[in-house]
Amino acid sequence: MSIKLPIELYSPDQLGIVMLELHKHISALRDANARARTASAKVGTVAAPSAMLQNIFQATDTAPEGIMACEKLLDSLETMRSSVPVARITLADMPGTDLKQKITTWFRSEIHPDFLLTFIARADIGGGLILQAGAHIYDLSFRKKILDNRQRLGEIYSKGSA
Amino acid sequence: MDGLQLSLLIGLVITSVISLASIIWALTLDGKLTKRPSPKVYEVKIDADKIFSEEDMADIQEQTHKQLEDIADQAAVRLKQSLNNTVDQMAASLNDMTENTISQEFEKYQVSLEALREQSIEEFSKLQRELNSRKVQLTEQLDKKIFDEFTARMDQFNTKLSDVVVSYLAESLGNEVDLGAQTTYILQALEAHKEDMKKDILA
Repeated sequence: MSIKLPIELYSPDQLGIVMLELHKHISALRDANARARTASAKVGTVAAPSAMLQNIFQATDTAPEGIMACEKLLDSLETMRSSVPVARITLADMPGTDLKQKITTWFRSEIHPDFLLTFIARADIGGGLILQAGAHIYDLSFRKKILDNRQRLGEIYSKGSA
Repeated sequence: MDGLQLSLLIGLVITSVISLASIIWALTLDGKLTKRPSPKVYEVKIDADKIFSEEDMADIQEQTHKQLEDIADQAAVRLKQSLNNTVDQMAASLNDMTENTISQEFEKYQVSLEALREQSIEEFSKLQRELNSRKVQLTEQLDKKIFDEFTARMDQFNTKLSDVVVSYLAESLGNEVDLGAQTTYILQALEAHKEDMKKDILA
């Protein structure tokens, strides 16, 4: 099953939470099914899935009440989690939803359609970002730029005095 | 009486006999000597005043005096000649020595002195050149060392100052972060490294 992750689902943690929720949903469906067969038992209600899970159901055209479909979806998500590229982005502050979505959109359009990102805040980088993917690190932070061009710090002094 | 005493007695007797014989012989010889006749001694005196007369004596004295004067004159002449010759020879030798030997030696001395002077000048010049060269070399080394030291210290200063400024900037920037204003920079930076990321991440 080919899954296009919604833009709101951008991190491996979110995917893990969704899979856990889906797993509970499947369990609840099974329970309800089993109770329905034995008329004497009280039929349990299945909790409404979260907005994120709803988005996934819609994105994959999966019926939320179908156990088989949900299990298939779960398997697909499991496979995806082990194969999709993942990266950690460190910014000077925790980005808002808008910026997260912009960055996620860029990665999914330019690098891989199922890219997952983890956002980390570290004030000492000053600005910019540090991208870490596997063994590769791209330090595009303000701190590195200042350290690499420290000989130009004199321009700050001269401009400040001028 | 034992043997020792007997032998001593015998020796004493023998000695007495020998002494007595010696005395008797000596007396005999003395007697013979007394009887020999002694030689006679004759004294002869010559009186000079009684051999020559006064005129002869004067004459002899005059001749003797004259001979003595002649001999003295001859000796004086010969001494004078000898002295003159000696003086002439000494003068000639001195002239010769002055003109030839001393002049030659003096010329040699002058030549040696000149050669020594030239050599000294050359040595001093060489030493001066070497000193100048060494001075230039040392000055260059010193300048280079000073420059290297200055550069190293400036780099150290810049590093320290940069660390201070960077720390201040990092600390101050971290307080007032506006990610919205950085969005364009972030996306541009990602775009600039897109190909590298594709190669590294997707590989």
